[in-house]
Amino acid sequence: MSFSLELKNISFRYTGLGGSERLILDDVSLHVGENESVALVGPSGSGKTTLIQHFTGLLRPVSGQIFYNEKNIWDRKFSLSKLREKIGIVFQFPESQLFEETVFKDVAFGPKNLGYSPDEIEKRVHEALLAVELKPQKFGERSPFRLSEGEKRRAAIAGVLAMEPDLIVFDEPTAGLDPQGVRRMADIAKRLLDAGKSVLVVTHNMDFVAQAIDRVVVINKGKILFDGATKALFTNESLLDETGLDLPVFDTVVREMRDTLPDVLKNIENINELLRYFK
Amino acid sequence: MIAINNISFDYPITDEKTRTVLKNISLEIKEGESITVMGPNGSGKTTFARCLNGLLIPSKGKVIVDGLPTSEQANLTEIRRRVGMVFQNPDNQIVSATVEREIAFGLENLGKPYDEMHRIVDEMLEKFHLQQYRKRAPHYLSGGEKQKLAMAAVLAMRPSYLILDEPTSLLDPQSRKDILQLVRQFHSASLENDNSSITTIFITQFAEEALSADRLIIFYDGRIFMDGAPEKVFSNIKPLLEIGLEPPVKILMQNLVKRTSR
Ligand SMILES: Nc1ncnc2c1ncn2[C@@H]1O[C@H](COP(=O)(O)OP(=O)(O)OP(=O)(O)O)[C@@H](O)[C@H]1O
Ligand SMILES: [Mg+2]
Repeated sequence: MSFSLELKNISFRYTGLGGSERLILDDVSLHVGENESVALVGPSGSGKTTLIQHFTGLLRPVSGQIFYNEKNIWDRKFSLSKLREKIGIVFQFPESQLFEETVFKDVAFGPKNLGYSPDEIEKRVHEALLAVELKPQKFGERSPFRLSEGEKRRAAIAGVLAMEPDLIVFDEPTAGLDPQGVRRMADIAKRLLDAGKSVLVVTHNMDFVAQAIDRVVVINKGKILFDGATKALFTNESLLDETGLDLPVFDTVVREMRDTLPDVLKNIENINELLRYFK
Repeated sequence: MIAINNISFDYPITDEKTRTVLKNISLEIKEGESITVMGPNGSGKTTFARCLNGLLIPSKGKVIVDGLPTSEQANLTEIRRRVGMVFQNPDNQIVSATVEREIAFGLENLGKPYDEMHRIVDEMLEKFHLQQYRKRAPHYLSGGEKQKLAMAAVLAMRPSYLILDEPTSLLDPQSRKDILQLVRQFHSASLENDNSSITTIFITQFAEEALSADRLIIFYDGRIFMDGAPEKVFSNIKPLLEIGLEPPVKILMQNLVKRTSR
């Protein structure tokens, strides 16, 4: 199961009314390899969603190339539909990818298209729903359109999990999730990594990044400003300032309180360890 | 005042079956209050919010906005003018072809004179940092920008009550702070020229955002689990953790410091 996605010098622009043009991605290069966890962060409107739409050929760059396992995805012979089996995307607005009558059918849609047996489909749907904490007995037969917003997001995530792609891309997976849901998402990312998959998340939630993601790519105004280890970003104060990114809430609070903390509490490293004191 | 008297709400599932998602809720929302609502996914926050402006009518009990019951069809236009709502998913609410038209739309419906309308549109574009997009189709905005636009359009109409259903969930931290600041500004500025106070009801998953409100209401399984001053509510750490919510990190830390220094 080799996996490599390489974007080389990608630029993209929208053409608006009356031919006005806006450059959204400006000479972006990015490589995502096997078993990597990457967070794509940056201000609202910086081009994050546009960038991930290039991963599976949903948008075509005006210049630059994209290679999946060394093959150019815009080659005539290249099958984009095969690529979409290997790279699954969970979009920002879950409603945009829910369409079946029941949650079960919705999550089953991907595996069914991949031609799996009914037993295998059943098993995958079951596992995917459990992973996002939607009890199959309780939610399986419900209409995906009649769920709460957070439940819809969970259902959309389950739909992509059930396809078991090599790279899963999540666009703002924690938006609208309750704290337990966020924690759950971090577990899901870790489990995917343990299973040898790659994960890329677009997110503003730095606490989530700190919990689950090793590498961060910072994008601003269509350009990549940083690509490196999560820990290295969190110590790069000038870059955080420049791009308006925050430290995880946990780190900010601990920094503020550092002098008042008794020694026994100085070694608490993250929110999970903090919560343990209240169990 | 919005009076909520013993309301329950059932969603139809099939012809015979229903699901009860609000269970006998009573409370009063007083003018000038700033309220935060929190609760796990599916606990009934959005359903509750939709009952406040008559988008949903309770199956039992009554919601009365400034003396007008939402159960009477004839009141609904006036109620929706008074109770503005920003939805969780902005795609459910944006209707116009351009950003500036979206903000002007509600004002036109209110019959605002042309000049005033323009002034308000400009003011909103500026406040929400959307000037450079004014002629653009909302469709081409990013998710976070759409959330800002939806909010600008509702605030332009100066409702007496403003319900914000997780309006910041897709925003970057800086924009989130800006928006919170704006909401607070609208809340307090309106208190000064006292004849028109904006009461804010803000639904969020970010505990930190609740601290600046007067009152925090926690939903759990269709009921009100707690209701009070934010610090007071958040001091019930164990019960909140048990229902899957978390008090702000700062409060957790302070609590721990107190315990260990004892
Ligand atoms: N149209 C609908 N038909 C049937 N049930 C629904 C419908 N909309 C929501 N529900 C159910 O009602 C309950 C409350 O939903 P609601 O949207 O009010 O929750 P919420 O607290 O806003 O959740 P979230 O944090 O996920 O936005 C949930 O169990 C949900 O599944
Ligand atoms: Mg909701």
